Amino acid sequence: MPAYTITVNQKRHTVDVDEDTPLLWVLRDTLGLTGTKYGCGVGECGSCSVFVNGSLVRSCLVQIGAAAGAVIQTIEGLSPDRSHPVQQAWVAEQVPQCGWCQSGHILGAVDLLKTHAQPTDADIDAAMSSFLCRCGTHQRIRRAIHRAAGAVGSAGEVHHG
Amino acid sequence: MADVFKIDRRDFIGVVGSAAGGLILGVHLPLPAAPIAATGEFKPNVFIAVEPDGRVVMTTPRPEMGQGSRTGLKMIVADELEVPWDSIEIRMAPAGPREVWGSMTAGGSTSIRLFFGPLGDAAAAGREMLVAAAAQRWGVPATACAAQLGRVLHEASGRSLRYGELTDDAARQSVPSHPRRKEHSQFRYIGKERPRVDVPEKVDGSAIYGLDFRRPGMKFAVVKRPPVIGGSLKGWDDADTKNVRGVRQVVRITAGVAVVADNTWAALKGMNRLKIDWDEGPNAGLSSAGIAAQLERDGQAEPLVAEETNHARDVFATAARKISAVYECPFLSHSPLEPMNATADVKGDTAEVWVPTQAPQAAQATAAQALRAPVGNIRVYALYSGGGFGRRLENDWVADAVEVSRAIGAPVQIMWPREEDTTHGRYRPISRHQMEAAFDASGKWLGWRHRVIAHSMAFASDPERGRTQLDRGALSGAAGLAYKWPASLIEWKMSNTPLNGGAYRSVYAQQNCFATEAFLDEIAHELKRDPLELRLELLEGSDPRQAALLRRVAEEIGWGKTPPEGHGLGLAVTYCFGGRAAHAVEASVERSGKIRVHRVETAIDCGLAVYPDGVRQQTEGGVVMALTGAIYSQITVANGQVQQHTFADYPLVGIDEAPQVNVHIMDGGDPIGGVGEPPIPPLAPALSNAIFAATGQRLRRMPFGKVAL
Repeated sequence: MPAYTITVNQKRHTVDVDEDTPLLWVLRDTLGLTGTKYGCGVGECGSCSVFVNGSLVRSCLVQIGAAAGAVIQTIEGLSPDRSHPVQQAWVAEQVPQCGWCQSGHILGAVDLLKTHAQPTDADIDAAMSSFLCRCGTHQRIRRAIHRAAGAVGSAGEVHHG
Repeated sequence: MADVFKIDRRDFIGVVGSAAGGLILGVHLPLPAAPIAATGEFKPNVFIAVEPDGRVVMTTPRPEMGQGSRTGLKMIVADELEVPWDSIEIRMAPAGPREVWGSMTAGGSTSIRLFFGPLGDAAAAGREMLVAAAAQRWGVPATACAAQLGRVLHEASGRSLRYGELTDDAARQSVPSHPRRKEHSQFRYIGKERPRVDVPEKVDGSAIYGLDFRRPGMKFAVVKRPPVIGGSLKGWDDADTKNVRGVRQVVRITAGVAVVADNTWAALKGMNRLKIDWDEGPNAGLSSAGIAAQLERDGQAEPLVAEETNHARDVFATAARKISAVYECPFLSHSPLEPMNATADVKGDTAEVWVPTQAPQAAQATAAQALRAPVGNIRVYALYSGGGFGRRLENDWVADAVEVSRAIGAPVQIMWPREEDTTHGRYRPISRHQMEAAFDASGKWLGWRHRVIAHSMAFASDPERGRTQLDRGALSGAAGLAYKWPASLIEWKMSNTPLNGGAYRSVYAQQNCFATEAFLDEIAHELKRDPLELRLELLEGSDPRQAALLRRVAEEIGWGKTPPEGHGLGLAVTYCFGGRAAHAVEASVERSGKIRVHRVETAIDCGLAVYPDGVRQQTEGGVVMALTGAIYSQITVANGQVQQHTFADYPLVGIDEAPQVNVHIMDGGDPIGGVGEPPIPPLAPALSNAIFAATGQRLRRMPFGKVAL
């Protein structure tokens, strides 16, 4: 029986699943972390995005066999209290409507801000255009990323207004 | 779905109970589906409970799918009851009978406009009863007391009591038949900025949607329906499927086949390995080309006349000159990002169902039918929906879940994989619009003609009626417009197809508005008139509110000024679902032929905007959804099978294509109108008109795709 050990949101888990099981379903069905969403299963929508060893990936495309020993961060692990600047910016800009895609968008924004502390609109387009949203929250996502960039730039302070 | 509901205020409020010392108010909404019983029996459908600790629990029958109505409903109660924002807890009611709950369906842009009156009255009645209870206790006139944020104050003596201390006494007060509502100037929450109630749990992954629901001992299943529309299951070979670790069972269901497993992946993998033998049925030769030919043919047949003014048929018969054009709209898939799913736990002839749905009562009926049990045996809990847009008005997947749970004797969550959702939708009906305008010899415009040829949802199961009766719903946005046409002839011809039609955000208003508002620009061009001026003239004395919206968006977009090189401006307006919306679009075409929308100025008039940011969200999002529909979306058929599967062949507009949308809320007065749907219809015609202004190309067929320059 295969068993894989992964660390998710700083907690170690050993899971006994087939090698080809996508990380998405390990998170959702085996570990009960349902904040990571299934939208297409083929990497087209971005709703299942998580960090694996610091890199943002689409967890529907990552087999558990390739993630053995990995350190994983999901939306649930971003902060214990919605205090991450990106989450705060998302609340301040009132981004989500149905919200299904937003875990992926939020982690996509976190990833973008790691490499672009003050992203331009073009940077946002390049990084975020592969994340789909059916409700059409795009312009609020853009505003929230700019807001979070301001917050990240000033030592975690989010500017309300 | 009527556009405007008349709400009778008689007898809809009553005290339904005083449990554990609390004051509980019920509201009876005399909805079309739940007329007031002639007996006058009081059957409440929304509960407002004021608990002894001051907490307020509001039970709502309307599901939340992202449209934000839950926040608006909370504003209404918090304001009229006059309590602190955070003191209200909202609960979703389990599905119950229509006589009790009215329609629980979130559809037709109705939740706020239907509930503002009765729900606000109930809350205001509660406030008055609490005030009366305090006045009684103090021995002072109620008029000397005032409610403020969960307390009753007696200013003269400086005394005050918390609502929680008054609930018992309040419950003994008679219910005021005409509770005093706040003046707009007194609103504390309504019309103000307040955070959405569902946002916090949607930024940390804790919101529980249908697919997130878990139950001890629950299995996971995926289903497959016949790939050919109208086909059926013959049998299967599951030797390879059974070899997949975690697969438990393969189950025949009415709609097809389900693979049941310990987790979703095993079910998906098992389904992929299942060798299924399908009977293709009668539609194996169906193709989009054939459907288009059918609509074209039906367009030449004798139609039914839906509207005729000023002897339009004579006008067209004798006109010196006519211009005509054909507009076409394809089938569309709703494709919400959360795929279709439901969890069922069947025990004997009873079932519990947890489902993301817009229509809990329909889900309950579907489950009852699947189980061949009375509706009362079914408990349905509507969870958050990851998008609805009309798709979740249907509940096909509920039957799947009930059938599988019954077969395996355990709770099960069934999911339609994305491909299954795309290929087995309830598609926005295909339509063809034959437009014609008549002129006299001097070029004077004499007549407007719009023949709607469409797949009819109303008559899908009763095509005989459709041959002799109008499908009024399918004429929304075509007939009964505010425009004062010189003479008008609106015609209807049903052209049904084997595909399942479904209500897609704004339903038929979008197709008809596209044809109407774009062909109107063709007429303006023919008349060498400014499209804005022509519209204003047609609305003169008819609907000043639509005219005001058009003026506003024209001003905001810079109408009449020269746009940047290569850019064009276009506008369009609609009145549907009780709301009005106008868009002005600035667009261009890139060298590659790709359409680029730079900016959308949009004005919406829903009367009082109870939850203004919610109105902005719906309008911004509606524009993007309609843009996706205008340039990308189409469901096509070959060999009887839907050709689109995932977002690769059914693409959505991305953030790099989504325009800046500036929303201008204009309150044109009562009554409160719909918000979710009106922003959809005017986008495609405004864009078509803008592209014509930019390039001289007239886009009459959706999706526009790339524009040949």
